Amino acid sequence: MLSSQRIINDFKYEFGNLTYREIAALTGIQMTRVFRIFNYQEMKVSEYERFKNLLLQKKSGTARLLELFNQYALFLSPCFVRKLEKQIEREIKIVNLIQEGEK
Amino acid sequence: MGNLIFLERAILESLSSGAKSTKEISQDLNFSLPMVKGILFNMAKKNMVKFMGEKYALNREIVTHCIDEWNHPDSLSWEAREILDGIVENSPMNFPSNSFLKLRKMYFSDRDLTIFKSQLTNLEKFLESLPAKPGMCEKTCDKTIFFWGMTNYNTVLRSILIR
Repeated sequence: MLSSQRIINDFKYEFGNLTYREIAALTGIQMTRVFRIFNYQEMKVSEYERFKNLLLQKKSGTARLLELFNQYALFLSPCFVRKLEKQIEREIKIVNLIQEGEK
Repeated sequence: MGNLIFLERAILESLSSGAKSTKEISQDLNFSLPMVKGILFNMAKKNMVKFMGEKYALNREIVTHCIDEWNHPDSLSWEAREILDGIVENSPMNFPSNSFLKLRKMYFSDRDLTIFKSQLTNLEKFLESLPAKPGMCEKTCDKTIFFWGMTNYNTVLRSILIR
């Protein structure tokens, strides 16, 4: 699936029953354009970013983290990124252990 | 086998005093039963523990084989990070309390440093004299973690700035 179609599917899932007019107001994209995007026309990068940011906002805490990564990943030192990667892996391991116990 | 997380280390430590049931481990570590089961399930998959009847025991062969890896400086530094995270997150900075963290920044003259080192040696000797294994009625979760160390601004600043 194309990433633009995937993000539209995610958007439909997260935002439910919004009308094209409401989506246009929310994204700042013209309503006719929203209609076309929702009918499988390719998105521009700027449109993709708007949908993605709205989805990220919906996902709150994690959204901020991802947003920071998106903006600053290239500026972070490789050493710091490795440490963070390991830290996140350990956190995931703990979450998995707890989930396994709850099964 | 990879680095151990503190939860796994705690289970290994609990089992080092003998085989235990999940309920006994849960009481010994003050972990919920589902969490103990989750961790043990994962450790059993890696053959770190064996299920014997109703109790879990350390698989000493594997543990002996992995001990160097688990005590590797990198692995120990992660343990230290987890402990420090735990104390920074959950402890008041004031003494007396069972859990506290104190930081002090000062200048040492050569004389002061000599005095400090001799005091530290005394403290270390005292700590070494204390039992590392639990007594009959003591739980693993009641074990005290004491840590000490010192550094200087230069080292900290360099670690922040040079990456």
